[in-house]
Amino acid sequence: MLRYALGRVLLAVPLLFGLSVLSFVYVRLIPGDPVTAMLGVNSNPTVVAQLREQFGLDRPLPGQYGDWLAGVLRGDFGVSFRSQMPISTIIVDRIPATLQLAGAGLVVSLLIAIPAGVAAGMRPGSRLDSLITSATLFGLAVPAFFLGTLLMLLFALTLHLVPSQGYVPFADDPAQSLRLTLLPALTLGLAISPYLARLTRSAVVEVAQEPFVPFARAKGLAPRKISVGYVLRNALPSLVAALGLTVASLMAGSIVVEALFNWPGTGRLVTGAVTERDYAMVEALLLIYGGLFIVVNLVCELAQSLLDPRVRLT
Amino acid sequence: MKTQVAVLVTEPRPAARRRVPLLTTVGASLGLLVLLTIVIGPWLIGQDPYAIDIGNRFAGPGGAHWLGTDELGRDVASRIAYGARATALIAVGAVAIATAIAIPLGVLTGFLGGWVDLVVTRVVDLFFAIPSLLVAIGVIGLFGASVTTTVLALGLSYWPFYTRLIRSAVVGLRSRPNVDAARVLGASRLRVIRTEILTGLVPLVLVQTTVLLGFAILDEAALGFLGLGVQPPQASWGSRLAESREFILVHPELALVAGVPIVLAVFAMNLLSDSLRDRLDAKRTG
Repeated sequence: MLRYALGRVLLAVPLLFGLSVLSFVYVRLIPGDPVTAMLGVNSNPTVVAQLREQFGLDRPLPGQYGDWLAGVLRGDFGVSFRSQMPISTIIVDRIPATLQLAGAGLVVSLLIAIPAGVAAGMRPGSRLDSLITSATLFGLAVPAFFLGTLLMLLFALTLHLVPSQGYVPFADDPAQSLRLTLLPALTLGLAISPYLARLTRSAVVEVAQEPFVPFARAKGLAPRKISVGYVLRNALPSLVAALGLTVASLMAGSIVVEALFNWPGTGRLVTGAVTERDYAMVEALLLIYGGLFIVVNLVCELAQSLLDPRVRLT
Repeated sequence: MKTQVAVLVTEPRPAARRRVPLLTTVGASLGLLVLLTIVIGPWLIGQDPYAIDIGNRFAGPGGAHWLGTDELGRDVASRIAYGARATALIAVGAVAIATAIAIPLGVLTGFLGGWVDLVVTRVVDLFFAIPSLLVAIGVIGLFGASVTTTVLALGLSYWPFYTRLIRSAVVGLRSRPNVDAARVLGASRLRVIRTEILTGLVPLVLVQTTVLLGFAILDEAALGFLGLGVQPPQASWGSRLAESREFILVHPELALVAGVPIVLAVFAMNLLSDSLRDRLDAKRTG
């Protein structure tokens, strides 16, 4: 196990390093330079030179990269080109809101996708399967913002059950915070569940073909016991690995959902940074989102190998 | 005698008489509807999508304006029909870019293997590690939001996953007997790739093209919604969403009308790709 885990971690390191180079090079790819791009072509040359020096843009690239990476490893992403505030402070401020949304969204999607995927995968080709499969195909076609608008229209603007937009930190007012989380989380969860349901279905279909399933049936075990205790348990390792990939849709989905519900998370930061041409911020966000994706997938792979030791051998 | 032979030849084989699945019919009809909207929609509606009529804002459906008017009194139906053209062009362009990168790279790495495979696959993995919408947003951050950058951004965000797919398909095709046979017959590498590998990829590419077209329509809309795609007043499905978003609390019906064509078009693509996959897979095993 230890050897396997070490191997996986060692594979992730060059990936993270490559990602850091990519994020760094990204900002230097900007036609002209970031400061001119930010201030406009007709900006005062002295101000430009001053800012370039302040951001360290006038030094050789490898040196800049080294300093930047050393800073990143200490949790210092530099200063925002826009607000002149430390980027790490701005991002750390936004993380609780995004985690709250993503976590709640993930719970919603698991509650929908796992039962649906298991029900469809246990009897491939059945009527229930084709119903669920066409529902997922339709669900995949519904954009998160469209779904969110529908939900907002129904639950907030027509039935007045929940507020339509806004965010309150959980620590300040737990009840109101949860009420406000309801719609965005439902939107995000519903938007992701078709992917997850399809992944679950294919994992379940594969396991359901194993000989122990007809054996369990012949033994007279209850269908529920077979699907949950036998099939789902054996599909769990591949599900955990698939969950890691779902994080990408969770990230992309939260960018859109945050914009729709005026949710002050890191997703808003992404859109804002690109619109305002705050390249230091875009650089940091690319690195954080990509790094998070790599790390989450690493953790999922390790969890998969704990659940199914056979994985370690391949 | 001759006519008899012709009759025998043209008689459909039993397999062709197989009932077309309902979902395929639905997908094909929706796809046709979208295609008609793109081709003759603007002509059929006959309204200028850019004509502003402030006195007639937020008019309900009816009369000359089939779907009513938007926040500037422009005809919503014609904005959607013209927008369909822009969105379709963007989607096709993006898929073309992704395919143009993925096929050569995937074939090269999958067929040659060795260090080329190792190096390129690492680079692909790296790009794969960034969620595709974020790659797209990054590209737009570099070049600013426009139709061209949207095409480029979406194309560049799809190639990593597509290259992976092609590569693993090529690895599978490479060990087939027909490839060995071609080699034994003295075919050069290039010829083997052309006659055995590329032809073997056709089903996969067909399915992926429909899948990616659906993705591209969704992502164009998502970028538009975030204000990073096609910029208003230029008509596209994404920019229509961006425009309607500002009035979402007062006139949510505009956002709904803007979203329905997206749902229908992507649903059509999903259904078509799924039935295409079923059919081509069946052919392979049969």
